Amino acid sequence: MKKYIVTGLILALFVWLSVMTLVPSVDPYSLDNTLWNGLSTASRELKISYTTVSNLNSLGNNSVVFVVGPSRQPSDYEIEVLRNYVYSGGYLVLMDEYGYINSLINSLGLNASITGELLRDPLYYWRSSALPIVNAFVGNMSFKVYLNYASTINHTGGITLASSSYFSYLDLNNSGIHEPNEPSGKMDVVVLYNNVGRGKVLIFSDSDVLINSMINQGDNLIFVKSLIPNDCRAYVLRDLISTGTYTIFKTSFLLFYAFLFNSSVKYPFVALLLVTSYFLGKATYKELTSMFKVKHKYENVDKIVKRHPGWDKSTLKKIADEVETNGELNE
Amino acid sequence: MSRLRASFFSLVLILLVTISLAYNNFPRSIDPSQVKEEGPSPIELLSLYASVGKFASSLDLKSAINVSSALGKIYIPQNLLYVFQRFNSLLNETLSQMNTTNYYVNLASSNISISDFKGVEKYIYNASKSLALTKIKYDELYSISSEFSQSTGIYSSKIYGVLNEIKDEINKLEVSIDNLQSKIEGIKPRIMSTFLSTSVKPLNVTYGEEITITGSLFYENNGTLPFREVIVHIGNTTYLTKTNFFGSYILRYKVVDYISRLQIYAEYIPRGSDAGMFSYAKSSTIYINVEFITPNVNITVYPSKVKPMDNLSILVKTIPYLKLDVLFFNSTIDGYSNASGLFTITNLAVPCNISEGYYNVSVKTFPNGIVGPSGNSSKIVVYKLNPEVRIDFPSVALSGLPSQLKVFTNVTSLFIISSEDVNITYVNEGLNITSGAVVPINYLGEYVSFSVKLSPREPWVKSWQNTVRVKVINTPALAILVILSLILVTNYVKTLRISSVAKKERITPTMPKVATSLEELPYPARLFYELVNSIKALLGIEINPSDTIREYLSKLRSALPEKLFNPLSQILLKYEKAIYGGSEYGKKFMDEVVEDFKEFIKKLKGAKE
Repeated sequence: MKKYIVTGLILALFVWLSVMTLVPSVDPYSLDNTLWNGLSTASRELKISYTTVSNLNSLGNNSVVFVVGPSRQPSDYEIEVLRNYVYSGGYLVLMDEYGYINSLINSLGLNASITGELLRDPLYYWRSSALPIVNAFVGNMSFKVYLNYASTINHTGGITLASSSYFSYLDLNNSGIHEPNEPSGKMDVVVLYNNVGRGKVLIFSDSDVLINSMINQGDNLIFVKSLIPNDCRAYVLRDLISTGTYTIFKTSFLLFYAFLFNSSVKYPFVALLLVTSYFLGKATYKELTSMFKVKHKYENVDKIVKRHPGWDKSTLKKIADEVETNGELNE
Repeated sequence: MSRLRASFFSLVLILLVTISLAYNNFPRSIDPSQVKEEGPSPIELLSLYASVGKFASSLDLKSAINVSSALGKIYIPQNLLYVFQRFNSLLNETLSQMNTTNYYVNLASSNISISDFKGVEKYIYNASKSLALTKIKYDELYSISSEFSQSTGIYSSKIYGVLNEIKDEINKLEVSIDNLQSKIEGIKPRIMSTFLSTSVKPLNVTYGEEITITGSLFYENNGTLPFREVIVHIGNTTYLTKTNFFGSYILRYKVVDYISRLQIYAEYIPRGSDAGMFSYAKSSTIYINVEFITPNVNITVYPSKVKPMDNLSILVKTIPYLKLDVLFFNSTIDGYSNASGLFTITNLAVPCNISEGYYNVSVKTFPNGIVGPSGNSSKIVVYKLNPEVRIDFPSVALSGLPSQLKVFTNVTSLFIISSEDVNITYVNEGLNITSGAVVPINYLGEYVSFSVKLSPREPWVKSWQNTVRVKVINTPALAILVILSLILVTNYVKTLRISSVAKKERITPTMPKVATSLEELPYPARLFYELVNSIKALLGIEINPSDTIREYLSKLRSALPEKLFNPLSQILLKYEKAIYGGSEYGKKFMDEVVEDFKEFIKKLKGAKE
């Protein structure tokens, strides 16, 4: 392959990796997404980090795991691991408006389900009736929680922490208007189940309470903080969130980078880098010298003398002069 | 340029791919900043206003105000906000004024039932004033209702309907006030004012002494009211007595209250046939001074700074033979002060499970006749000692190789050393713990955190906990580093050696072997020198050892005629090509040169002769 193509590709790869490091993810519910639908503010405020199903067993009891905006139903294996986590004392917070997590809720032995229908409130809302404001109560404290395209929870046995106003209704046909056949009235949107095994489960029928555009509205952040014990470390389960190709690349690269520089692998890697840099530097120097340095007419003479120290340098210089004048005889 | 262009296009291509990858997800929520603001639903709004009207029409004004307050929490777009807020504010103010009016009307009604006409007149006045304000607010509210109706989309007839319900209630309140006024005007001429006098003797008493409360109840023109119930208030207690035939009453009371200033007054409330005939009466309030002894109580706890299980002593000093309770860490010790007024408790152990902090030790004395209750408290500090702990962990550990972890302390303790990073836990009880730990050879982390916990067996020593980080170097990784470094160093040393040898050679060059006579030279060279010698003999021009062929030719140019110089220069340049031209000019070419040399030498010889 031509040298300049290789150089261009290497340069482009370097720029690409730099861009990937600096440009945050735009995936919804991504912890480093700083746009309206990301969780970067929640990540900072609640000190949330990612976890995966395979890591759940090692989290311990002073942890809280958020399942936010799942893009699919959890698999049997995932349900099993999540159930074990809760039964052994874990704190699971489920945030979903589509009902993907209903199978998980059932497997935990809870009589609750997300209806999957859009909740609207024609009076108590923010900007649009699809962004209803609900009243929440924890102990003797009350909160105003702002929702974004939320659903509702049908349940028995849970403690209702937040419910919509008496004017709210389920917009079954997404018309934006309350029609006679559409259920209306006070509906539950946040429900807590204590003593699920040794753990507890908190269900939100909206996955957007903590996204950047909603977290600072009303009492959203304070409400969620009031539900998480101070000594708990918060995690977001990555497995069920829809991840874009860009994020996969970015995460893989950052993981690889962290693996290289935050582990003992860095020692051989640095050595390898030194060896490679040595030879690459040498080659680059040669290349650049040949490109930019003005060739001296006696440069070859120096090389020949270096190789054959016994040869007469002045004679060689004369030959070089003759070569330069294209073999013309001196006048 | 073409290289630069190619690099630039590659870069742009990869950036475009990156950006397209970044934007391929479809969000499932809505960005609130992009949402067009919606106004509230007129139907739901109207239902709220209708409830306000409904509550107002049944004079349940508190509920009406609650609903009205809830209206303030409804989301209203900015362009409608002022009209909406103004309407609701006026509605709230109207309802609040109605509520105040209603409150005064109710008070006036209840005061009529006890014949307190002064009170009734006062409340009717307040109610009338409040009603006037209500009407003003209502008129303002009514005046903006049309604009409100247009802004919110609620039919104006519906809004007027709600307002009319409120207006009806305002009218009803006005009628109530008028009725009360008429009633009091109708009753007042028939009611006789009553007066109640009270006196207490003596005004200064000692605890246990008796006081006599006397007074009389009479009405206008000094007419007495015999056999009427009088309520006497002494401190926080009420006593019922009756007037005698002369309208006087007497109540004897033994003062057994430990209150230094005791309040006493009497009331008469007309009941039965008296109601509607006599007015309510209340006497003036009299205060009597009660003397009793409040003993001084001093409590001393020593030492005042203790550890769990330490013994301490408590000394209470008060008046002799007084019953007292000492409260010490949730337990109560009771007793009596001795003849000297002292009460001593010694060797009292501080509970072993007590936490560090400040605690109160209090004493409470019980009243005894003229001696009233008293008490005092003293603060003590409970503290614990810090254990002396020495940790001897290696600063760096190599994976796969054993390291020793040692912890020492000065008090028998339960040691727990654990690490989640490498999943190990060591437990021991005693004065120290020594254990060998091996970080797995494949451990790639930079550090291993060890949690060290000490639970001293002695209750007066604090628990201790710390986290120690040990740097870990992966042994295989280190080995690879060493090997690669060796390769690098070896390569560099080799390069250095070659360059030093070359230098040395340049300083003391090994001269190549030089031919000493013409016979030792190859045949073409011999012919060349023969030619050179012939020219030297003919023209006296010779070739120096350092001259190149071309330099030599330059010397000859001026000496030889052009006819001779041109063929000679062709022959010599051909010879130069044959020598330095490389493989391109082979033996055949050299043979031609040899023939040319021979011919030219022959020509020179001919010319010489």
